[in-house]
Amino acid sequence: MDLFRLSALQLSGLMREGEVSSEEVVNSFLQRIEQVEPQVKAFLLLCPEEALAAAREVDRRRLRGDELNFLAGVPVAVKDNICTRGLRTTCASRILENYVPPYDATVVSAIRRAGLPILGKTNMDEFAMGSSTENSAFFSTRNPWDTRRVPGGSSGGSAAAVAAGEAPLALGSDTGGSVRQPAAFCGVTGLRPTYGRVSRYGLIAFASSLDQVGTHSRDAAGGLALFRLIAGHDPLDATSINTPLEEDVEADNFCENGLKGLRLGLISEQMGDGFAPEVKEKIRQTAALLEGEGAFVEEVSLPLTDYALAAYYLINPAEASSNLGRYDGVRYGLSERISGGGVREMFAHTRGKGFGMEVKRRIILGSYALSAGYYDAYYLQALKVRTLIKKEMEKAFERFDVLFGPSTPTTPFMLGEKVDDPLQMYLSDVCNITDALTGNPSLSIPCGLSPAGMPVGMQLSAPPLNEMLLFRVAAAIENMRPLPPLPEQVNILEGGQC
Amino acid sequence: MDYEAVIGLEVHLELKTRSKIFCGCSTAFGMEPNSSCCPVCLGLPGSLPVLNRSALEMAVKAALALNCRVEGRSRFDRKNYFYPDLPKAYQISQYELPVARGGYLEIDLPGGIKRVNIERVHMEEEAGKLLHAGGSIMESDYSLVDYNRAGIPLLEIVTAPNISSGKEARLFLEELRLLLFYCDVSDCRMEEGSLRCDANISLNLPGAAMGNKVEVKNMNSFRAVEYALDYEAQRQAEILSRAGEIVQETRHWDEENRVTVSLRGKEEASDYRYFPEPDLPPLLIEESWVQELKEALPELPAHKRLRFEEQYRLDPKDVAVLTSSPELACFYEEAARHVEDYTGLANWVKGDVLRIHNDSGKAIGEMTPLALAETISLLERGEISRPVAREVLEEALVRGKNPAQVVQDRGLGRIADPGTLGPLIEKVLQENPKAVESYLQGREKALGFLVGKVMAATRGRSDPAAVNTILRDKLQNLPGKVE
Amino acid sequence: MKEIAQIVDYLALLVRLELDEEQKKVLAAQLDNILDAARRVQELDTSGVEPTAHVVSSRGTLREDEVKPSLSLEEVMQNVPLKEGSLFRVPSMSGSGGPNGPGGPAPEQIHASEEAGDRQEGKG
Repeated sequence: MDLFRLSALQLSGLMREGEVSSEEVVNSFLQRIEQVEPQVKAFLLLCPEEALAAAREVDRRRLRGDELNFLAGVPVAVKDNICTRGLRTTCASRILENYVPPYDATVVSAIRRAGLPILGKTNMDEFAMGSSTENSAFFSTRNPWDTRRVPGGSSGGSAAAVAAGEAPLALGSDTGGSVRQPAAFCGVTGLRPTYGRVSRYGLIAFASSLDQVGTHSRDAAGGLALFRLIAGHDPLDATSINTPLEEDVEADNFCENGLKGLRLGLISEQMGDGFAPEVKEKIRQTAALLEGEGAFVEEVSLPLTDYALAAYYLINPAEASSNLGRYDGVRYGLSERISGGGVREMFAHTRGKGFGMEVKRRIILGSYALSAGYYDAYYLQALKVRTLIKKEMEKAFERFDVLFGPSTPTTPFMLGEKVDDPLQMYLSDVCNITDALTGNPSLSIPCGLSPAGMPVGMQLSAPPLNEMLLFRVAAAIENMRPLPPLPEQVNILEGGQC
Repeated sequence: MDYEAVIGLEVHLELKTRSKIFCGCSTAFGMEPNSSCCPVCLGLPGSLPVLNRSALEMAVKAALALNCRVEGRSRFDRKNYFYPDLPKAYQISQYELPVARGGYLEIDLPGGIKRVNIERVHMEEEAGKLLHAGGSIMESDYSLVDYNRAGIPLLEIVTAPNISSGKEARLFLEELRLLLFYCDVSDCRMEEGSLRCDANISLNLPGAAMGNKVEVKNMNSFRAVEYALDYEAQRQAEILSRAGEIVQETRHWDEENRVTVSLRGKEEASDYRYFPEPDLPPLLIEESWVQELKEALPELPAHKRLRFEEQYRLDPKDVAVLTSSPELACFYEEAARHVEDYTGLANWVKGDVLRIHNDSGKAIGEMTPLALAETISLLERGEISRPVAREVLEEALVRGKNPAQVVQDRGLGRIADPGTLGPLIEKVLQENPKAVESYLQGREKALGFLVGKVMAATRGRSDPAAVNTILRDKLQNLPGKVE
Repeated sequence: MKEIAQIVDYLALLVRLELDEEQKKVLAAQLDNILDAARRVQELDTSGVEPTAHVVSSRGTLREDEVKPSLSLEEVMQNVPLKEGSLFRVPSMSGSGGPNGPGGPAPEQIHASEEAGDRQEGKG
């Protein structure tokens, strides 16, 4: 049996029944990684020894009869902007190329405590700035469905690893679509939780008022289980929400309530001209399926979402420009010092050498939006537009339980296609921006394959704290229409060159 | 023409919390460099700040003591700039919405009370410390950074520009220090860097528009503030009287040469790109909590001074000394409950108690006021002499002993017993034949000399009246006396 | 375009970011484009609208004033590029120059912990 083909819950079930050990599970994924990683290139760092040690420890505790977490023994991949004590954490940047954090992010402590072996650190766009993982300072990750195409980004490594069967679960981060857009491109399930629901402590800051740790999984049940493991109040994060998760529902039968009476709003702005016909087609088919299950579906217009991208690309770089000031060559990371040069030169050289072009672009753009004389017209105005968008969403949620639409305007594009055109690249996140600005939870789920065999993603959004509802809808859709199996292309290319 | 100086102060002081403002690292002084640091105060990637409740509480207490309005909603902002001692390349501060606004502090001037207005009070974090190998900033080849101080909570107090002289500025700072001392929120030691002060100063003719402002920095003591501002006012007046123009700039006080020096060209224009700190949600402060803190404030210095003058009928100068710390004032008041002569008590406290405190290093708060009251009582009852009283008091305060016990243990009580005094006096008479002769020849003054000798022999403990009687008696009955 | 090029120059200095001429040119052009798109926010009437800097409306967590263990000195220093004892060492604070000036020898690259971890660079 190829254990790597199973979902997180299937693996958890087998381990709980004593059918397989965590060590066997981890070994299966390590072998799969060895086979497909040369084509996919999802990982910046692999830590097989640590993973096996954690797996054996879980196996020992299970044999001893210890009370174990539901997901204990299920391996996980972690995006390389989430701090792991003793494991190099680079943000896919030259400036942190050799950085080893002396502490674990709160989410990493949670998965370690629960006994989820960490397989490695996944590739990403540098400092999570990008939508294709091509902005990694080290190499590009490939889409497992077609290795000529991008996996999306910035959490492209995490999404690709799950899609390629290199990991059953992965942690990513979503600032403006960085979990959901690659989830859609890679045909996996990706959650952006409510802002504040999951601790950001140890998530290397990009745009702090937007950043959230999210999950990649093969299916809804796996995503929900991982989400429940990492969610909760953290005294180390002042923006962490102190609201308990909804009433406990058994993770494997939480979808039994069905969809009857659920009000679903299809966002009409995301079904317009700029959206690929094969994407819209899949969304319409799924909408019809939902209606068939007794849900009420209606189109809803959110005209202000057209302004979301503009507001986002002011707020995001503004915060980023400040968050990235600390990479100055004094305390850690790259340090470029010229003999005879002063501290000023060290700052400028270090940052000039250490940051890639997209990072530089955002730093310049962000400091522009914040600088004296431009603050009111750009940054402050963007924050006010954010308020208007938030109100529009709140109003829409008075009529609808869930809003939905495509996760991306198109199916995955080719490597190199947009890398020199930042505006086009930014547009590939256009569906994901609104929830990032408002802090709503949002879930991208696989929505079948396009005629060309590329995954299409559907995005579901709910009012704050309603992650469970999103997973319920996702599970209902999975019941009606089974998820596609692992992409075969990476198998065909096995051992080949790329 | 007489110009008026218009001075505003920006005071930074360290709040005396146990841990830093945004993390749990210790604020203790004098630790090994970089040994009180964590991911948060080092600005390691991924770390986040969480506000220290005590820092907020102390800020609110200080604001209330300064008669400020505490804002129900305030906020932290980021002030972005690059400097090696600033771990995140931004300082978390309160820029747009400070925790409190609009208060005042009154200072005593010869012409009456002056109210210095407070514009705002806000919280922020301290930076680390730069050490320059080989002395000055500009000359050394490299610098070393210690982040132990990074993240110490600071309170910034900004006055309105209604201070008129260096002396007023110094008096304001002294009164502010006393106030915050009383509120137990800061040690305010300027020399140790726990209080820093920058100033803005401009000159104008009475009734005329404000002149160009000069910022004065690097003043390291209250006296330095006074001297620097007086120097700067004089410098500007000279320029203006020559019809010159004041350059709007920052100047450093050069303590050694007693001048202010322009920093022109060495500072770049600042563009701090302030924006709301996304990691800290807006700070919502409940009115009821503010009310609680207000009610819990101690009696503040100005009120205490007034009360002391009235209640104990003391001279304002004495009161100033007695209320110079809450502990000393408390010591006086405790002792005063058992003493009738308040002025006499004030002299004891100002004199001996402070001397004993300085000599022994024993904290005033650890001394027993009752010991002073009892010592005074022993003195008044004539059981001990004044020099002995001082000795007893020192022993009682420093070692925490009962004065009567000290007197008894060390045998310091007055000697009036003829059995003890008799032999002593006879010895004195034998040793001073000239004085005896002189007395016998009718010179009364010689008696005083002999009494003094007896007193000295008992180190002041003899009862003078008893000595006198016995001495006269002995002299009357001297064997060799010729009738 | 000239104006935006000057702005890029100013901002690069302000945020301590060394850019070569080519990068400056590209960035100036892109900044212009992106700002054009971003100016859409100015089309909306926002009079009387409060800005949203935080989407969490709660009071936020406060921590009690308790001293918690700091990092060990070894952990504090584990990534330091250059140190002296237990202190972080930085070049001179004087603005630019030094004897060699800005055009001096090539930069010397200082990396911390070269040996830490294994990067999987892909085996294809």
